[in-house]
Amino acid sequence: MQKPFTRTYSGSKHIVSYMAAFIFLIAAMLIGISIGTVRVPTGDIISIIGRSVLNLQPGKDIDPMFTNIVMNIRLPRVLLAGLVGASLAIAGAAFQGLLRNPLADPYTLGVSSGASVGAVVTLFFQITLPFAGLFTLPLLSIVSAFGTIMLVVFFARSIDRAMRVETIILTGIIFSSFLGALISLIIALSGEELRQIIGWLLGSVSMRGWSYIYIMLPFTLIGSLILFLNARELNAMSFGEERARHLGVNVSRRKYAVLAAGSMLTGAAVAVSGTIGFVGLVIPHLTRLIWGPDHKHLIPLSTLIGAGFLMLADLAARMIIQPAELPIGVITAMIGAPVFAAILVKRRMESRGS
Amino acid sequence: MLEVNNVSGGYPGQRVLENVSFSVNRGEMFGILGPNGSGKTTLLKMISGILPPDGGKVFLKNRLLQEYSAKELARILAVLPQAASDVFSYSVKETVMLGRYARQRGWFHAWSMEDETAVREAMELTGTWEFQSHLLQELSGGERQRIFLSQALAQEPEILLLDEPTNHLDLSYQKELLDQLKRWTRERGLTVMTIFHDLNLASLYCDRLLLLDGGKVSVIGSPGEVLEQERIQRVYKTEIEKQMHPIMPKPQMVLIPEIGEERGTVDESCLSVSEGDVRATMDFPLKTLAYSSGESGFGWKKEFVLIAEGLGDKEAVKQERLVMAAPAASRFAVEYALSKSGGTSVFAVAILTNPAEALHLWVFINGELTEQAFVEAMVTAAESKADVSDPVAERGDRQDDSIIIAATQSGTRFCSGRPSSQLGSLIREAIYKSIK
Repeated sequence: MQKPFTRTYSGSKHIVSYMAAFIFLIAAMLIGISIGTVRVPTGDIISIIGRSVLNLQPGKDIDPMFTNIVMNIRLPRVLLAGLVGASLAIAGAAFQGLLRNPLADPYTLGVSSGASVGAVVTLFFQITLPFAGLFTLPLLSIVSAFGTIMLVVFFARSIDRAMRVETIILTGIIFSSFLGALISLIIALSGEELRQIIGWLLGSVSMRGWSYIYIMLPFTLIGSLILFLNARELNAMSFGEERARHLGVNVSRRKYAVLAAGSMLTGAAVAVSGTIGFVGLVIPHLTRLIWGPDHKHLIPLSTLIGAGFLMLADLAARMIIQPAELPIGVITAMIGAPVFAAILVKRRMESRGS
Repeated sequence: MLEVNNVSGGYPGQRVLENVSFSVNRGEMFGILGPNGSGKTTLLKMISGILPPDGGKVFLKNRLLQEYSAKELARILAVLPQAASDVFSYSVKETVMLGRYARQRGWFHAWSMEDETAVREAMELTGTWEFQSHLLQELSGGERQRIFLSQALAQEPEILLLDEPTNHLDLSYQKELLDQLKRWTRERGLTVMTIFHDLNLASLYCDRLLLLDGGKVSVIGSPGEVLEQERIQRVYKTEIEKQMHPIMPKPQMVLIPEIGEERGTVDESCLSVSEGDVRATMDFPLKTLAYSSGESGFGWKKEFVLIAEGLGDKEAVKQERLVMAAPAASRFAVEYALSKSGGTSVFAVAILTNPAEALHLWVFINGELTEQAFVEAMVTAAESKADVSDPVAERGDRQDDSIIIAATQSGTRFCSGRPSSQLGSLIREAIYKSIK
């Protein structure tokens, strides 16, 4: 009887995977909160969070300055980094599975640029949708992100029915460049708003406070829930749309659901933190290398790893040229671009080998 | 099971199929043939619901194809693609498990024992269970093809569509796969519909064939009805000859290369007679129908040898050599004659052995004979021999006699060798002249 053995084996393997990813996330979070101009001991962090969130009464007194730093500055910052990281990572995983393209990510596909255009336009014209209020910015970012991905996919398909990896990426770059130019134009016209927009564009999670977390959270939850519910369909679609159709997947509906969820995650992330590239490329790639390509696990694991990764990237961004800060996008690009190159080289070698 | 009714369509701006109608019965193995671009794959796409037809209707189990949801369809109909590509390195088992997509139920799509059993059974049937934990990318094209077949079988379909299933497989797996499919049609009532490139495989395995020509149905019927020489030559626009399979009652199509081998003519210069043997040697093979103590039947021979026993030990038996033995220390009386008409000639050699008094008759024809002409030429030769050799009829036991009809298969083509035909009279004339 081989069956029970394989089952328990794979089951325990997954428990270990989730434990490891979870420990990584908690560790990244504690380190992110602890380190800074003022160092907060880990024990104190746990007490502060415990007291504020769970109303526990710890034995010893804690410096109120620590409480202030943790609750008002570091914790929201780290949580926002986590939400953005998780959103971008699973958006990347979803785009990659759907387009069967290991190089796809919100940034390389031009979706981030699309979302930025939506955000910049919203800021520039100071648009407020009557019913949306605070959510105007993310909603418009999401809408323009979705519009961009639809255009990119439509365009790539019309020039190359097979939708080769390189075609999609080139299309993404074309759209990115065009949309980037559009943003520059708006900024040039904007005058005094300039500084704020440029700082935002380069990507940052600093000084956002709790309100941004409340803006971001619903989109992250809904988007990742949709993708998680489509994990099996993503598995099938990563063998090609026709194959998925033959296996019984309602491809047209599922495809739009995935694209919409990916755009939602990207748009919301861009709205609160600007364009942060390559997270959606690096994290799913790494996760797949360690735990395999099954989207049922790839998506939740990418969420955990992506969140932890961006917390650490943010830490690096604020520590390297202390007391000044680097845009977080600089850190992710420095890690992401070489990974992008490595995947490209590996693919070339494989296609030459076979 | 499946009914295709007046279906037309294709891709935007390009109509591939026109008014295609046919039906496939349950448990049938149905083959689709046609040259490149005749619409085979398009037809398969329409039947599998990927491509909606512009006109006409497809019924599956008496229900319109479009009325099925994707999941319902996948529970009835599975497709083995021509070549499935994979970008990410899924394991073999994960890949096959995807075949259960349409069968899993409930909100969380829990993996049930039923699913596990179906996957295992599908993998065992294709012999892929042992590499279940390998990655798809580590496998060869043929192995992958079997994995995707398992995936399709895990769907537990009633009808299986295949697009050139033998494409990446080597000979033994081609046979194994097709044998297996055929067995399932018989034992489980599985309906198999498959595109074939190889006409001969299609002929051997399919119950019925559909031949597409330029998007239209050329013919539907049994392999014997569909694979007619003239029709295949016309549809495929190439030289091809129909033969029957040696064991199965199924036609086989044989390609004929445009550039053939050099063929000469046969006459007395090919013949050499010495003390212990008589031989006719050519530097190209002749198609031969033999009746002899050495061997009988059809073959391609370059050398014909009659040799006295004892000397014959040196004569190695070769594929292209026909050796007939005579008793030791026999002496041979050899006579020959050539008859000619137009561009054709028949060269007959008659050899009487002494003391056994066996009569060997070798008839070489400089021309092309159909199989029918060969058989008729053999009878003509035998009758002529009987006419002429009457005076030596008292020879008694004639079991050492032989008759060989050998043709160069170039030049004039003969469809008949009856005594009344041109070839028949040439044969008779040559034999009469040689046996006096």
